Amino acid sequence: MRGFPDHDVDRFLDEIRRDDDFQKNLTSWKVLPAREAVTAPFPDNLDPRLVAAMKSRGIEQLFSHQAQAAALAAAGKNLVVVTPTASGKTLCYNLPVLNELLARPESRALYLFPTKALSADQLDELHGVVTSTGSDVKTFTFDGDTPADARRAIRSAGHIVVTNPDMLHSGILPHHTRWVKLFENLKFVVLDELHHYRGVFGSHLANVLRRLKRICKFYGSSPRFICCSATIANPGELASRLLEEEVAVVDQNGAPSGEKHFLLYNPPVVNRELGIRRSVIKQSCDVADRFLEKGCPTIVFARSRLTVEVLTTYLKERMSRRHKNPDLIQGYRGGYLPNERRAIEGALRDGTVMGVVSTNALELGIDIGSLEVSVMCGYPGTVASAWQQAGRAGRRQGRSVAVLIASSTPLDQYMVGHPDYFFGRPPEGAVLNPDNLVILMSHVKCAAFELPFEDGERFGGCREDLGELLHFLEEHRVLRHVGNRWHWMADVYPAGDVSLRSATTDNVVIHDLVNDRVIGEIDWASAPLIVHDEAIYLHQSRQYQIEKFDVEGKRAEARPVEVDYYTDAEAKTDIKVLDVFCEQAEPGGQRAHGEVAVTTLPVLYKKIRFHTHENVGWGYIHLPEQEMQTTSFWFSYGENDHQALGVTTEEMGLGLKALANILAQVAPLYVMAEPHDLRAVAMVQSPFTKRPTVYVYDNHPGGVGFSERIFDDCARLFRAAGELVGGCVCPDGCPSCVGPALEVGPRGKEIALRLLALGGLEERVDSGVGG
Amino acid sequence: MSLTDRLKRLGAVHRMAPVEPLPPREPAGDVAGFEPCANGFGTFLMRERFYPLTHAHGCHALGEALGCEEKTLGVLARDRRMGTFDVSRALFLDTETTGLSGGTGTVAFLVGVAGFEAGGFRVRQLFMRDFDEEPALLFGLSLLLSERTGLVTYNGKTFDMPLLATRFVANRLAAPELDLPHLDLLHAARRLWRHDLQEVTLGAVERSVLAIVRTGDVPGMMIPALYFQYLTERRPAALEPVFSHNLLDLLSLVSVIAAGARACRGEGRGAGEHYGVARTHDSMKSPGEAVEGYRRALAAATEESLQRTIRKGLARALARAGRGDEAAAEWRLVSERWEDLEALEALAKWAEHRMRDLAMASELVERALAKLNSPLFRSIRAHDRQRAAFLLRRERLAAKRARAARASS
Repeated sequence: MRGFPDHDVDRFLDEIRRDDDFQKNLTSWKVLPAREAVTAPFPDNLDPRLVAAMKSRGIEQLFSHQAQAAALAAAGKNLVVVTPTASGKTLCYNLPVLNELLARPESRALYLFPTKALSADQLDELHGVVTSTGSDVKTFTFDGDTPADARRAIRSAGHIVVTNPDMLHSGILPHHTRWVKLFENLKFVVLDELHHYRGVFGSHLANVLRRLKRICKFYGSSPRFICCSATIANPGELASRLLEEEVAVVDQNGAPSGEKHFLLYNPPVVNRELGIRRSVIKQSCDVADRFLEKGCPTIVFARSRLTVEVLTTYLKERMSRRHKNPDLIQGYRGGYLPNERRAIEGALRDGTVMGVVSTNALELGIDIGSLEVSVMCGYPGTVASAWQQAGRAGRRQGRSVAVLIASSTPLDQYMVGHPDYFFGRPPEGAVLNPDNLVILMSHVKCAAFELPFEDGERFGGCREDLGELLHFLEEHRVLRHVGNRWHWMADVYPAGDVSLRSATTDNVVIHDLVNDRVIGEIDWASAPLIVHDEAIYLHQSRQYQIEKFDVEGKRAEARPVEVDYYTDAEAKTDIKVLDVFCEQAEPGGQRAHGEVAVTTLPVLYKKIRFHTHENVGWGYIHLPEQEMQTTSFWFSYGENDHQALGVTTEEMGLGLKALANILAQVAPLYVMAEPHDLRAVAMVQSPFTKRPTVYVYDNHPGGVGFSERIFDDCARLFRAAGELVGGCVCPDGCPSCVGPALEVGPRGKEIALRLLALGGLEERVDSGVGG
Repeated sequence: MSLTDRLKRLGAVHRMAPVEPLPPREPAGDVAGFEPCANGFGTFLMRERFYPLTHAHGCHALGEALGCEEKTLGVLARDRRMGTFDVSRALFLDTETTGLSGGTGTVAFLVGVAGFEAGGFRVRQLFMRDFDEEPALLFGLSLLLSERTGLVTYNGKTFDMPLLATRFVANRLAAPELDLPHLDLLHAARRLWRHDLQEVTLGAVERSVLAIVRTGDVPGMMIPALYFQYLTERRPAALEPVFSHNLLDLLSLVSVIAAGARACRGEGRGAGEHYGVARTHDSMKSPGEAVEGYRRALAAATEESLQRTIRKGLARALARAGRGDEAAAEWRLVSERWEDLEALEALAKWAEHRMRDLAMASELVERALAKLNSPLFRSIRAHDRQRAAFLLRRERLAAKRARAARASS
């Protein structure tokens, strides 16, 4: 029952205030006070029907940011609105769009949401407003689920078409001639959840938008863009890199918010020598269960699919032990089928599910009703994400609680150890690289399929030589140059081969042999480590053993099993420099940025028992090595630095490994990357530099800009990593800093600290002379 | 490193095999049999063929397609309004394209159009030697289209016409009226021959219905590659099989009309065809004609499973035509021969409501339940609902009989 929700939360807060055991592990308890609203009247140019509709829905005034957005849109500016969850951001775009549609019914608007679920939600809200205005503005969702017979009507009659980037890319742009009405009259494009469009996805989207604008130009329209983003460091920069146009930033939030308690919790150290803290999974389970026991609707965010499954299993067990229905707890993550997900969303809204364990899939604005508690099992990787996840509790005001529980990883330890940093201005800037050659090439092909390129034409703000790209495609018999145009000359549908979610094009399907159905998909690059033969794959808390990973057929055959362990795989990585883009001598060594070839060979997997997490066996993985070309940052030390440091070559090797460990952990913090976006490798004598070298590379073919950003700012990264390692309580290395001494040697931590100090040295030059 | 080198290196990622350097560009020369056609948008090539009405294409002469009765055409199109469709003024159309998956990047490089005129049937094939000839070709096509009042195609509603519409838009050319009355023979063929053919492609219809044997025909999926080969190598001979493929397709459209019309007049050649016609009448809500069709089909049917299907269709059509007793007779036959559940249900209803013979109704319900309770039927989930319906009927009948017994005692 959800009788007196505030009451339950208050009871919990009282309880933990008196709970010394709990208190001593808190590194911060921040109360964010309730905020008053800053309002503004409806702008004069707003259609009276719209004002009346707002008033009929109980909205008498606008929040200041909504009014500012409306004014900028009316002035024909592109804009990005930066506001937290529950600040009424949808009005920031619905008002200008509906105002235009009421004035000129032939106008059209396109709404893009990163996921399908989100668009379903937005449509409900939009329908409400439209109905209140009494107009016949027609809003339709167009995605993979739209029935074929509805599509024709949507194409010609939909005033607002709600879709996602993937559908725009593969279902709309390649068929633009059927959307003439839309493209001829397109006035606004709305991009919600803009902060999601970074890294690979952002690099793709920037190209999809280049294609969209090219098609609009063909039909004589030139739409304005209204974007919404969660709080990140560089919303204006992100928006203007995506749109390749000037964008005005609206970041003064006028919405009120309820009181929020934000707790940072560091599980107790259970083994000082090894720097081992109590398991973040167990700790999160305990904390979440305390809320659930009191009937507080709670969401638990976990970093990986595996953790989601493990936590769901644990919390269901706790429920059963209390003789409660275990189905009150549900898991939610990518890889579940759409109808499973919709059912869980609905159950959360109507209260038939009390607790949900999710990956960041639920971080987005999917309507799951008002939860009171958000428990983060580990730092979500970016400050922006942490705030989004915390925001899932208490969206509709009232008191709410967010608890961030740190894992032993360095990044988590840094965050809970530096609350000021965490609660201060988020430092991450979103990175993207629309000119990633793999991604760019995919979209040049798609664009050429949509309309022949003309000689001298430009592709958005693409800095590569388009003519050369087109020549290359002609050499490969994909295009044909005739007259002054480049015509598509292949019997393929290029958008079908390009997934916006990865820099490669392949997925592996996981097939349940017993029930003869597909239970999930996984991207090609991660497959060898997750669905190798004998791997335990978890889906909906159910275990499957992979019987056979068919590399050629891109298919993994799974059989349901019940075992008491899960598997964790390891790979061997080698790196070769292909090209150097920039090099710069530093006081402590040399930094560089360039193109590399990375080969990965999966080697073995370990079986790890549930609950105790002990290692209960292992096996070899027999899969071919994968090669990937990408961009990398690297830092090389002096040839004789190990002598200067007074260490042997072997110790130097271990120290470099320690250095790679810590850089891989901390680097994502600076470039708003997910941990899997970046990898680090160290070599005591790199074949290319002939020196001790550490590489940090983009874990995506062609690179998406992360390593370039690290190159630009590497001294700061080395210093932050040094601070973290120096501040760690362990004597000689632990999983929370450079890795355990068993892995990095007894002097690993010490050497890594000295290498970090060298890398953090900066020349005291005040002039702007750069490399 | 140059962009091309970087691209080549990424070649592995793109899965593009290394290729031979492009040969020097050959000028597009003449194509035997084709004449250049010029208009304000440039030039394209065209060739014409003229056939007398007596020309036999398979087992039909071209002229047979003319003079179909209004009713026959309506059944062929499964649309009474199409009865007035004027075959003699329609444009027969078939395109050969650079791709089969659709989308804006697919181009029709060869558009075959044809139509009846005084004394015969004229075929014109419009061909572009390169992509820059497309606007001229499309303009030429729009002139030919504007002379005609309807369209005849095979799958043109789904494929050819949307593709051409796209080409006009993509070239920013004023599109002619493409939304003419349209006889898409794929749909007609499917209705008539899907019971006899595995796949109702034009090729399959030619072989099995029209008695046409093509030799050296090029498979449709090879056509884009042949055109691309012609573009690079400029040897028109490579395309000759494509030109004749397109030509034969157009002639076959005419014969399909003749064969289809014959079937729709009730002169079908076999049980499957009669059955297809009967079903079409059914869906057009003409139960009388449907009954005739099913009877003809039955007379020709030799295969047992087809007989059962046809008899059930016949029984339903009779019921819809208001001939309940005849329908019951058919259902009885079906139930006795095959213990068919639908027949048992229909008969039980008939016994209960029309004959008011509750004992007979009960007996039929028990027979159905006995079948449904057999282990085989038990194991099939789909029958659960059917079983539930019979159980409900059994209960109601029992109650009714108890009431009747009380009333009579």
